[in-house]
Amino acid sequence: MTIPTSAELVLLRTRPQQTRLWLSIYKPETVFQARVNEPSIVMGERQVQYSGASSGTYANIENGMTMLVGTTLGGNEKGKIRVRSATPSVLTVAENSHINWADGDYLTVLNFFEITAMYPRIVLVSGTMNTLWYKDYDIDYTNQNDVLGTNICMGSHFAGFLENGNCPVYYSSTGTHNFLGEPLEYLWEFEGGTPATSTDADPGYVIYDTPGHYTTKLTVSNVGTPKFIEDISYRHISIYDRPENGLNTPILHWEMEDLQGSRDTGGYTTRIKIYENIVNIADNALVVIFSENWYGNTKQSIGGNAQNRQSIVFCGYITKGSIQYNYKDSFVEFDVGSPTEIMKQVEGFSVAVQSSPDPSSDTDPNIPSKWVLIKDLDVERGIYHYLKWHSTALLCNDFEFRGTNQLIQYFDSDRTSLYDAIQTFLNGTILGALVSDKQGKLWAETDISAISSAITNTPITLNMTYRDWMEEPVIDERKIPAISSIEMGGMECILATGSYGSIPYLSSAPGSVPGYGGENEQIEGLAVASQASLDELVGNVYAYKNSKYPSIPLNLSQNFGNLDIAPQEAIEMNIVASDTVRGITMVNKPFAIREVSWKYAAEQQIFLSSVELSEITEGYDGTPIIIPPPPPPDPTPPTPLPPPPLPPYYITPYVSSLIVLMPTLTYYDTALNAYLTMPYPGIISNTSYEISADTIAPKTCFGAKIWITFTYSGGTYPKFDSILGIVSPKTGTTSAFYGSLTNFTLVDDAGGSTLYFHCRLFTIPYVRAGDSVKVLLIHTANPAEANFWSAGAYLECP
Amino acid sequence: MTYKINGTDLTLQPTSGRWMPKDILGTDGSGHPIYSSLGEFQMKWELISPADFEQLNAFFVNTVGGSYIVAELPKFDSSSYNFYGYTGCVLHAPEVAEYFSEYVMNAILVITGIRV
Repeated sequence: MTIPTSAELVLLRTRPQQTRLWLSIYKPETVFQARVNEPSIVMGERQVQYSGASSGTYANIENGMTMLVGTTLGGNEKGKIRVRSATPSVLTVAENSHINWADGDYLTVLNFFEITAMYPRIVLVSGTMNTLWYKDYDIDYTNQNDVLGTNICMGSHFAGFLENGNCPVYYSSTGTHNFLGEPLEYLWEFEGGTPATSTDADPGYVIYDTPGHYTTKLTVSNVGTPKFIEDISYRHISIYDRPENGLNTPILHWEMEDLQGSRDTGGYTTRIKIYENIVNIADNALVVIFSENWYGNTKQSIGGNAQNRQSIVFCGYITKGSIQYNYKDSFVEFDVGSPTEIMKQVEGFSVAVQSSPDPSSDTDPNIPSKWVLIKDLDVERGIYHYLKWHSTALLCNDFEFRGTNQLIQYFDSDRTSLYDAIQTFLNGTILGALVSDKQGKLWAETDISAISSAITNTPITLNMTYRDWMEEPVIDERKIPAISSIEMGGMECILATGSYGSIPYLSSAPGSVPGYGGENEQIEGLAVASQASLDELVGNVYAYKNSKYPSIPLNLSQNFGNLDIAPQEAIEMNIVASDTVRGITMVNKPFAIREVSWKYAAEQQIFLSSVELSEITEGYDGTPIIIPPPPPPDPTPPTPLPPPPLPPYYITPYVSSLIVLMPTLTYYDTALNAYLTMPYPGIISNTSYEISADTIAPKTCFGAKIWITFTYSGGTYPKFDSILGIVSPKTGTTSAFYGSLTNFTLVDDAGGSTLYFHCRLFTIPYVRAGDSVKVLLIHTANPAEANFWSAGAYLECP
Repeated sequence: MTYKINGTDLTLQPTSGRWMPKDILGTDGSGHPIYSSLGEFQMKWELISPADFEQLNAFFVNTVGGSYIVAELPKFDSSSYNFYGYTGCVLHAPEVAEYFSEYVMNAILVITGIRV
């Protein structure tokens, strides 16, 4: 928790203060190296045959590890891919289409777990309209959404120094939550640590005595056998020598812009410059900033949500595409962001699930797969399903739900980023947000504006007075209401067996009459528990949006390491009239933390924080809006509707008739087995051929005409086996055939005695703007016939 | 009582030395300035031979890799003039002015990161 004890509060205010920050970039161990041994390998391959293992053993590969693919040993120029499993000859990887596999490519599997998307696969059963649904390409449904699973919390990633030969790292599973309340077994595996394993929920301190980069694995499962639930998560640990004690040091020559966190953006970002020669720096690399702090003469770190990891200031990742090398001044710089920033860069697939009391036994014929059913779906379970089955976020980050959980009937997400999918869902159901704290833990919370009794229910992390901030505070005071009225709509989901359904509610604040000034706002689709809870919610949100003090930015005078943007905690403000020229007074007035940032002055070793606060409010309950009952069903049968008019899609405005010359005619000479351009003037040898012409319809019209003209000479009248007018819709692949003539003989309509002209008209029912219109003439060899000189085709759209 | 770096006497003791005033990082709501807990000490040589200067520069070169020094300096908060070994200090590159004959004038050595 970030709420300091009274002793810590004294320390936080002790001056002078000193903070020394250290930068760690995790260097993952190579687990396995080999080369592709598959001459016929193609793009998209998942089962990659390999040989020539040059490092490690395949048995150490775990599901979720990162594999580099390159043309040199250890290279990654062809990309990265998540590993699923390995056998002595085959590496199975995640679904991919971004790697241009080639025989002989170098494969390097790293002991590193990144945030990526996992894609579902839906297969049409041949000859039927049935589909088979899989998660992560080939995971079939057994009972996953019946038994659900466990949100694992095991603390942040870690970096620290050996002190007197060892570095203790504290481990705890506090915050771990099983959805069905199952008793749980824990198996911790501490690579490089002592003890090497533990089955305790909270193993306490594990000792590392050798510098290096390690991975800790926690497996949480049900007690006993069989194992019907099993969740796994990993954290990365970097142990260093102090610069004066050894060569395995963290990065020493670096600087950092302000570390800025905001609830509105969901996490922290900063930009780092490194003035050292570092190799293999890569997108998504894990960055840990750790600290040593002195408050007066007391060396102690305060803050952070992970238990006994107060020294960890920040955990995040290098954001994709941000690495820049400055060759002139010899430094490399890059952006770093919280896990939520990486989740913004990862595109997830669309998801649609719905609630069911018993997914495995559900016999609803409209359900395409059990994967779309979740037992007693609520907001928390929806997020868990998305993160567990559509991403790897839970493999490498703590996640905790602190929202006002509500039952829901459906959860749909568009194809969007992992962050947007969760954020949109949370905000749309419980006015919540997904926020990463400094140490990289993901928090799903109801926004403070929508929390019941927020003033009394929000824990207080600090009581602040004039000694805690610098200069005069800038207080944004709202004089005119921002919102005149808010109308909210929500659904109460009933999940009692046999009576699944929803009850709609509407409510408005400040009541049936809008406030004096401001805008109207409507929020719909919320998940609520009752009409009364919606009334309370709309009243609270109305009060928050019209709060008197929407924003107070403060530069703080100390390193308040306890402050964070998640979980939501309050600061009590105390301002006396003499603090500001406006004479504002506040006594223990609670404010929420919207933003926190830290500025590091490396030379002075000062790490000062600043915050932006917003007033915590509570409002009067809103007024229910009565939803009229639906009208009784009409006893008379409905009148059949007339058939829908053509065309089925858009109609362009009518314009005058257009005649289009269909472009160059080509013919396929079946004797020569080649396409040839229609000569003009010229003669096609009188053999078997097909003539085609095509164009794009310039507009939508009914009764379109195709004019076909011919010139020919000598012999008997030419005769075609068939003449077809073909319209291919501009979308789709199906061709529609409109009109044909078979065994059609040309008869001269005009022309001289040696050159005959013939014109033929087709009428086709309609064409739509953008349709592809084609004429195809098929002719069989007949030496007695006349020779063709030319042919032309025109499309007329009246 | 001599100036030392990492336990080694400076072959030529500085002409003068001084604790630099601390930067004011801000002023809190009560009007009190906020200081860093770290001090800065500056040594000055009005005239120094190249050999003596080389010693100063060698101290600096040894810290380029990121290591810290122990500096024995006049104790900041003491009732009498005595020296104290400050650990974890950062040595800056020595600065020089122009040459005078075969000597360097106004050489300056700055030590920061001194917890005082």
